[in-house]
Amino acid sequence: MEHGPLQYSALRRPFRLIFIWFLLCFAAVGTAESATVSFIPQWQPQAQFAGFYVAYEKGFYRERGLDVRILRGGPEWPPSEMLAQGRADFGTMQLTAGIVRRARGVKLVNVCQLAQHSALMLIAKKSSGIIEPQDINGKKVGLWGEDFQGQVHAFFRKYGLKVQTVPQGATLNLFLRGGVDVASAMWYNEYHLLLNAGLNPEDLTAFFLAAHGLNVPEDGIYCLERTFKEKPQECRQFVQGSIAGWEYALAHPEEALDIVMKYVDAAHVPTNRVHQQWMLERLRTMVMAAGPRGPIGGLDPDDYYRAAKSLKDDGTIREIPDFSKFYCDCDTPDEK
Amino acid sequence: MRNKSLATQLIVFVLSGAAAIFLAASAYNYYASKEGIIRRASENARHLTLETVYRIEVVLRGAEKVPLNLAATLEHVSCERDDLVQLLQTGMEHNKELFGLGIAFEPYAGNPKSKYFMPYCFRNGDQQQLKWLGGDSYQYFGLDWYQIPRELGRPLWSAPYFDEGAGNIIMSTFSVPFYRETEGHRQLAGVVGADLSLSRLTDIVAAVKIYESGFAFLVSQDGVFVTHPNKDWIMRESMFSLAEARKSPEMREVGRDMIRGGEGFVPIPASLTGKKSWFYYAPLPSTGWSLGVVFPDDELFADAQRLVQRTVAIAILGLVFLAVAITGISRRITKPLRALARKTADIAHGDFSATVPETGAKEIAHLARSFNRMGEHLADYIAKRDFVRDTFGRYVTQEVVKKLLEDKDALEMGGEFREVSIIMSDLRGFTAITADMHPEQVVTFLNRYLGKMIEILTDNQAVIDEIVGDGILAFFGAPTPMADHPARTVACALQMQAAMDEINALNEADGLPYLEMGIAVNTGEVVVGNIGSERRTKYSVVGAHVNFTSRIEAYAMGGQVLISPDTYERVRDLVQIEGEVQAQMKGVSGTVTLYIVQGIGAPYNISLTAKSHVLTRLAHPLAARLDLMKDKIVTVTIEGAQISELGETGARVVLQGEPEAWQDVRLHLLAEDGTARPGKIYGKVTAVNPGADGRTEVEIRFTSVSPESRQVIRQALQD
Repeated sequence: MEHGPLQYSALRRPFRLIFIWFLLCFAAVGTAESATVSFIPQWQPQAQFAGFYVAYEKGFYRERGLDVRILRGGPEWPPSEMLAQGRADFGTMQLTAGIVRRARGVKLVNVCQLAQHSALMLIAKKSSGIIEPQDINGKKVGLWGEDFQGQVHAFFRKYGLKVQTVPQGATLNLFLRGGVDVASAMWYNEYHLLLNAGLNPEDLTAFFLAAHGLNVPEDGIYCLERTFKEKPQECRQFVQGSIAGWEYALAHPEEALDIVMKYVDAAHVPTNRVHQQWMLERLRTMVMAAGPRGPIGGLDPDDYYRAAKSLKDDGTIREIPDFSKFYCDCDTPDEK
Repeated sequence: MRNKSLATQLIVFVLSGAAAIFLAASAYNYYASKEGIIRRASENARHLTLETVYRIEVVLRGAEKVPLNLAATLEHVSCERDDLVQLLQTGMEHNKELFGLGIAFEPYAGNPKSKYFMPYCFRNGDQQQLKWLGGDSYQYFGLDWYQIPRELGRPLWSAPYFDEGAGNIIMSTFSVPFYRETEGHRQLAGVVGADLSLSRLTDIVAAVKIYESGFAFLVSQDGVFVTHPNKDWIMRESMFSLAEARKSPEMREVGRDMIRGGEGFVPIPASLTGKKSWFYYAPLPSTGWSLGVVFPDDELFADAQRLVQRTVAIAILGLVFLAVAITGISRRITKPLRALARKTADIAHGDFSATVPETGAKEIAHLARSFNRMGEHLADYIAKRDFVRDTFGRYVTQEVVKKLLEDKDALEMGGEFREVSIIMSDLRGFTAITADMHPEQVVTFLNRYLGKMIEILTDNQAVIDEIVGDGILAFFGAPTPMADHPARTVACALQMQAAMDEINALNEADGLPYLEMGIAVNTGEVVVGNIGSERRTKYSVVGAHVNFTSRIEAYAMGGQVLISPDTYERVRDLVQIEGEVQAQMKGVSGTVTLYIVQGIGAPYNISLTAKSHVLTRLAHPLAARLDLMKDKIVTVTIEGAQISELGETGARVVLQGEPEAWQDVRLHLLAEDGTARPGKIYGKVTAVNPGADGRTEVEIRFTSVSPESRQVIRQALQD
């Protein structure tokens, strides 16, 4: 029952040692020109961050003159804290998480909005009688932390639903055992975990929040405002290298999966290749959704304000941070 | 197949038939025994699986007892911190299988000052250790082991998980919610959790050995592998992720049935486990997990397969033996046939003496006998045919024979109009001359003459139509067209006439009579063709011109070649004419001029030496008697004839009577006493003149003079 904390604290120590060793190595071989930055994804190694691992493994950072250390992500190391504490230079976060942190005074900036599309969804078993949004009324719904709740609450408001919310943990077991009727899920992750737990798509009712007018972009790259001002070169190199990594990963999914699985195995993440494959393919639609609106990495002000407004409506934040302060395009004309 | 040898055909048919029968029988045997084996295997599998399930259940049920009792206690007894620790330590001692045991309270339920309150006792080596858990770093309310029983309101086993902190072992927590009465409400007070190391369960499962490589595995309530020989799968892959990776909806269905608590025995294709297998699965009722047992198909059916392998080996040996036997037998059967084929080829190449031994199987011996008979008959037939051809050729020209032999249509009855030149020859007075001769002498005499004539005719490519006695009928210009047939015929006639000197020289040496031959040649359109019936046919000429030729021949004197006006017209530039004969022909008004040919120019260049027809006046006329003949019969005998003039070839006779010109006569020379001398003279009246005293003077050309008579003539001429 102690598996949560024990597991990760036990892992932390050896990983720190590895990082120090890495640092020493880089200090020894690093040239005067290459700057060293660190990066932390917001979760354990998985295909959600394929582009970063691929960029690292294929040398896309290095060829831009940047040495990157990829830190092990996980629930104990939220990027917002890691950035605020100066323990990482770059991190990924959901747009809503970024807005919440900024609104609460952490001077973060979004330097690249990768996932243009929301993968957030509510899932119910058809056997619980939930077919339409209205059917959720009065049911038990598993909800993640506040970063994710703005959209879901907007969904409840939209359909006038009164529900009993239950905090949803790291697993779907509560939902699988029938502890809740509705679970929060990401299309690229939890939805497929349910399929991998023996539920068939036809057994499930899925509500994509994006399909209900509640699209909010998701993963983006963040750093401290200070970092962006002091190291614009490194920011640009990191963002460009990451985008190159994503483009390569989506063009060579099998190779990208090999790389992801290498990180997965190293971190003993209890997942499997078919799940990572599913994730990478869903990420493709989310990242490539940028296509029609502009290059990969752009953040649309409308998307930003819709996301921020849902958080404000929900009471999660009081003020909406100014878009121009929040989003910093690395490719602004003076830097090109 | 059609062109394969008998042995090959037999082998193919017999062996494939035998193999098919064998296959059907052994396939039936195999499947029948396999069904039984599957039934037994299914039973075994079921027993084995259920036994394993039972052993696991014992462990699980044992582990459940402590937290269940603890929760029951906590519902009724309100405990202080030390009591709780005591309860935990007792519980841990009670069940050595437990790794840890904890009591987690609802917010402020265990300690009114603290949101989190959770004493946790766990093993560290042989020692028990106590820890107080809960807080910002360990918010247990949101963890599965606490939250799920809380929400469900019933005890349950958590999904297995890796506990790296406890040394990378798989654990599962049995959580029991406990309730207390508060203001009349039964309210959740907390959850008792017992951590069980699954290493004993995995040992139990790993100990399951089925045949050589069969194995058992355990999956969680979500289908995730809890134990499996493939360590990489444990806690990472599930029945469903494997089904997805292997694109096997069947495997997914089995997985779904497993997590639903189903029980079954299903085949697994080789694509899923590397080899064909059978799979038995049954649920673990307390946890919702499922135990699966995999039996490799080949091991399950090893006995049946061994049996099949042996039967197949026996069958193959049998079939090989059968093949060898068939080859031997068929070679023995076909050996005479092959010999026969060789001999037939020999016959085809003309060796009719080829024979085969009349041995072997009855049918074969019969065939050999028939073949030998055929050879004999063929040889016989060919010999006969050759004889026929050769003999035939003696009468018919090779030309006709060839045409007949080569062209079947040439044997067709019927005919065509053709212009031909006809030759007809006859010996003068032959019948009369030979009348008194010995038959063998006649044949020798005749054959000498005919042999020579036939040789000449054949050399000139004449078709000899008919030989009757001493008479020859031949023609030129058919069946092979011959542009110069009139000239060639005349030349041939001249050659024949010329050859008479040679024949007469031989005859004289043999004491045979002197012969004279008359030849007629005529040219005209006749019908030629195969005349006769299917049984007897002759390539022959028919028509008025044939008869006409015969009549001309009657006018021909010995040594003469007499040609018709038609022939003459065609050869006049080539021939030398000795004289003309005005002849009265039956059926023709007036006289017909016939020409006596003396020779023919280039390219034939033949001329007859002029015969002396000189008559010498006798000082003493010879007495003679003259028989007038008609169709070789004496019609009138004239006595008292007087030969006034005499030569080798003719005589002038004065007689009493009126013989006609061209009448055949026989002249008897009389001795002084009036008796007939030996020997005969035949001739033809060539001229009739009135003489003195009312007597008639006739000129006679001799056509045949017997040697005795010749001597008398020579005597008389010398005198």
